[in-house]
Amino acid sequence: MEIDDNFPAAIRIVTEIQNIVSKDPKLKEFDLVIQPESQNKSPVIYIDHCLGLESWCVRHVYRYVYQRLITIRKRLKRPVSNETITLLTSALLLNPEVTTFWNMRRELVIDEYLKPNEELRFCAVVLKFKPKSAEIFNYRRWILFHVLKDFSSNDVVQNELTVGLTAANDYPSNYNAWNHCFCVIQRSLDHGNFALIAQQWEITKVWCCEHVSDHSCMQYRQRLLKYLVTDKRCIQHLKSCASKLLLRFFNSDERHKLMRPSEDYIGETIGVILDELYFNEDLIAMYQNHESLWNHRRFLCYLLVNIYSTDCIKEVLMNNEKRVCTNFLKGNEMFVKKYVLWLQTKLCISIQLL
Amino acid sequence: MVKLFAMSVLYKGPNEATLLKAAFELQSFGYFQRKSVQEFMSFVTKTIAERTAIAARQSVKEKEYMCHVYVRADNLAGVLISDDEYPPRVAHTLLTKTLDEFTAKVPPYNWSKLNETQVTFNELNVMLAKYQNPKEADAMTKIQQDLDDTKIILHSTIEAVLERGEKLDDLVAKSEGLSMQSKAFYKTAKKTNACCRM
Repeated sequence: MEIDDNFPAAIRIVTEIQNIVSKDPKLKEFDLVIQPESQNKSPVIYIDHCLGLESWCVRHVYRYVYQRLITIRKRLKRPVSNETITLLTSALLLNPEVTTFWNMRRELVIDEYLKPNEELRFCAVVLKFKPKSAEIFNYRRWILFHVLKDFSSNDVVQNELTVGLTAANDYPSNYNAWNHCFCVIQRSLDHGNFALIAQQWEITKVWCCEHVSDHSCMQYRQRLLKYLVTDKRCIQHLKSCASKLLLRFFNSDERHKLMRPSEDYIGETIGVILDELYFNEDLIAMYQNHESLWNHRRFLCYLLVNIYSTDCIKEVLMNNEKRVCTNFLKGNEMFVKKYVLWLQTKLCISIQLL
Repeated sequence: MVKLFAMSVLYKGPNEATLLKAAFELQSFGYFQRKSVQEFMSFVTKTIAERTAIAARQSVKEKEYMCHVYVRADNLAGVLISDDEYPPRVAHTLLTKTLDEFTAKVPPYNWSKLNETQVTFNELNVMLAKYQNPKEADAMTKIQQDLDDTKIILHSTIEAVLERGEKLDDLVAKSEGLSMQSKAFYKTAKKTNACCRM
């Protein structure tokens, strides 16, 4: 296909976009502005660190940059010019799903035409437009893990987690965003940043209250919880509330049977799980009929039973879950029934609903 | 998301509803979408208030949004637009409280003659901010108990609330409150089958 000659304004538009992107380090978002027809003025709108492009020209602009870039890519010798960067910026803002374009940017980073830190900023802007795009997160991780490689600075890590959380806010159950956060966490654990798990555990607890049906956030918390209950170095950063919770959950006989004085750490782990179990109950009481909450509860019971594989814990759990299921049967009927069935088949805990 | 987007108080006259006061919280929308989203929420608010009977409550679900309406016997109407995670019961409790407070502040004999510019009721903005967290509503349990006896009519789309022969597309096209840009915004959103995301 030949270059679209019907739209000579394309070059001017993409240059304008590139200028704004490279000159404004505080650029917050990019979005389309619905405008079916040309208003006889530039379709690039730039207010208050937000960049908008009028929708009528998107088709023409994208067609132009796509064709130009593919032509450039097909050449054997690829001299780098500012034009390539300009074209890539517009192409990826409009459609971040094209791996080839990200790869072209990767080459430019390797050859030091583009700065890694500026690339991270650019990605954050693209994420505001397409918060779920896996390609953007892949590229970010590539920059972090293969170019910067430096995880000693807490600022880099915190910035990454903030970007992830923003994307999670902008798109419900955004698995890619949460997964990205978790990758970053794993990397910083390798560098001995154990306090991070506890910090994320507290932050996402507040976040969960505002997004009760977000499956991916719950799953992220489950991954954090696994670290907390298996690694002493992680749990010690958490404010302990174990003793109060153990008193609430077990009666004295049961406590006696389960605990040995030497097992403080076990007490702490159980404490974290119980805290989450009661927190989950509060959410279920407040918000009816959310599958995510009941699934999360399954995970917590599973963890509790598997850490402490005794019959005693099953009995206590059975009584507690019977109380919860009976209390919340009204309004959550389908999920309670599924949950009871699951307890029976997977954990051999049988509950008779009244 | 557990979120309140808009809260309005209207007077439901014999032919149409007049907006008396509205408050919005639209920070979660993109900068360039906010204006159209706000116009749209006002449009939906008015449309649904006009199609709710006197002394009735309705809750309308549209994609990931919920619209709760309460029209009192004295023609004062409250409309609240929230995300579908926000507990409906709390939403209706909140509407009762809002209308009570409005009545205490603005005397009823004026309602039919007033419009938005003449009403001062800044408490509405305060309430919208405060009750973003539904737990704040725990103190209102008394109203909540009264609510248990009232029937709330549920609808699964806006279309279901409209009168026979009415179409949302036509209402949007006819509306004076929506700018050209918002009408285009509606068409695009409808094509991509998403309320406000594109």
